[in-house]
Amino acid sequence: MIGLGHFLTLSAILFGCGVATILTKRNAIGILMGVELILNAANVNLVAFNRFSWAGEAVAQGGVPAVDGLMFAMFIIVLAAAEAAIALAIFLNFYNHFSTIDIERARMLSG
Amino acid sequence: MLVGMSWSETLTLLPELCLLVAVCVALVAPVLPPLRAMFRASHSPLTALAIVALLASIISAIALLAGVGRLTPPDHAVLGGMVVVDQFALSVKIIIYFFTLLVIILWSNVTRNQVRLTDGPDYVSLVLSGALGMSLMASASNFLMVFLAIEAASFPSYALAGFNKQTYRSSEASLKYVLIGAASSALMLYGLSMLYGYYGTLDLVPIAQRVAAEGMSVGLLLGVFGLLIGIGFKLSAVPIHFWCPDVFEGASIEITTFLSVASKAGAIALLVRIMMTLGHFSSGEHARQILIGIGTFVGLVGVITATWGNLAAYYQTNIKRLLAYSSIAHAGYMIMLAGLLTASMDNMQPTEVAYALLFYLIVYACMNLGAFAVASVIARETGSESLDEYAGLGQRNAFLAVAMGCFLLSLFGMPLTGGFWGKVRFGFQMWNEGMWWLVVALIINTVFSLYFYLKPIIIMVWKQPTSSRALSVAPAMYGVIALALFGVFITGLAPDPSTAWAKRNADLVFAAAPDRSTTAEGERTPEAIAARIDTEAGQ
Repeated sequence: MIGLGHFLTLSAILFGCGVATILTKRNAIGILMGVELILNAANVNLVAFNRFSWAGEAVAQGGVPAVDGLMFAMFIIVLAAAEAAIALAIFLNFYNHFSTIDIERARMLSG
Repeated sequence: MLVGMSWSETLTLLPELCLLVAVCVALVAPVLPPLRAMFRASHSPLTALAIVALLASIISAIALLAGVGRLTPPDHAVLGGMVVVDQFALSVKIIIYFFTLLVIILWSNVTRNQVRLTDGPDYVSLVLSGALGMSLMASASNFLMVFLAIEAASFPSYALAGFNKQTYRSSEASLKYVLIGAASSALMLYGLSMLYGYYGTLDLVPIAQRVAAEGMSVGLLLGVFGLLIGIGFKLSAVPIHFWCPDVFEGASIEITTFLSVASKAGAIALLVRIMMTLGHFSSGEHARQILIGIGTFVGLVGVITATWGNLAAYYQTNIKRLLAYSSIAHAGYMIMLAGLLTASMDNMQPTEVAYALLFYLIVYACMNLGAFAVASVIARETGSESLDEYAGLGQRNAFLAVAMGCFLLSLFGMPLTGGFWGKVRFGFQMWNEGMWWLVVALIINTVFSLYFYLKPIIIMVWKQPTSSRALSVAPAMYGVIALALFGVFITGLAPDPSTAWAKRNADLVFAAAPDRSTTAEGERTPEAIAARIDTEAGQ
């Protein structure tokens, strides 16, 4: 039987991979991929908590199944897409100037 | 409809709706064939549109605050608990809209001609939608709304930071901004998902009640930590502050002005709302210990942020970077005050602390606007943002030099200026709470900051100018600078009227949305809903 613990383990692994990706990658798109992994870890959490913890409880109290977590996950998916669109446009502009998207090259501004 | 929404609830969001309509008009009108020629000819129609929209927002927010006609601030959360439109939120919104209006005026007088005519609609809609997100931050009371508001404020800011596509600095600044912003919002979301998992709701008030009843939990710890990362990014609190100077230097100067005040005002209002709601329900002894712990942690973050900002400003030679570190330090002072709020609910009214912050926001908006307006005039005339350009400014244009001196001294906290009273009020609140170490940190930081605020003044007065050409200033810029000077001195010489205004309008509402499930909609059991769907389908 697959329960809440399995999903939380999956999301923790995704979260760890995401943080490791952000910290080690030097390519801007690689970092964005790490961010997406963390966002999806949050999504897995929300959907699993909704399914295993809170949807049933609302029904037990005589209501309709709660969908807060599902709604939140949907908003995250939509906003992650918007964020990726803006980020990729900015990366493209950076590439036009520096011919690379290695963030080590972004060192004109410092101090 | 399961969640009914009445007109009076919708009208409480009238200021935001004005901005939303203006964003849509700014995007659609320039591509309509009859209007295209007009919008391609100059930036003026768009500037006028933005000014009209912001004026409409300011007027409707003031009407809501005063309670004109059907526009009354509700005493509970609206839109199903998503937002609270209370006096504090409305006051912060008025500050944000007014500041955005002045930013638009700054833009139309200083850097507007660097923006291509085809890009004008994008620019105006980005600024207005950024202001929309920031004002939602001031009234969000559900963590879904918190997330949406932070992102709605961030996305336009990323694009605006990189709007000057031709320059290397701008593209680098926006790259750093978007990467740090994306990472911090992802971490915030992971924390929020844990909060949902533990409490089963995303509304702030029920969570605060559960915290008061049950005390500490892993979900609360992770959730608060995530939230602090998300809000700390917007406020440039110390572990995630390093985007701030780079973005401020790379972005064009009116965007820097916009980000330095409007964005931080929204974020600090959000932090205040969360901390105060948690503190409002902290009745049990067990909960109090935890909330004092959270408050102390936030206060400590504020102290570190202020100290770091003040120390790093020592070595700056670029006026925008200098003001960026100064804004980090001021964000630190405000975070220090926010740290008090979880503990402050027993012995005093919440307005007592919130008003100090509101007063500070007014002063901070005036002095930052003024300093950036002078810097933008000088950058436009000399083509450089280096502090060397300020040499002998007193001889080239005495008004600009005197005004810049006043703004910098007000940022330092000189008596007779508003900055002094802002800091004095902060100090009194901290002392009343028994947080003497915050008072010590505030005083030491103020002394630290004297050097780098005096540095440009010394250059302006004693160094010989490199060029004797007089600086010409547009009349509207004189108006903006004079308005900021007026604000700095009216709050400094006669602080009572603005203090009274801030005290009158600093009330926060701590109440969830009324439960509709048993009132208008009938019962919410699955059978009742199925029956209702059947009857609706039959009609």
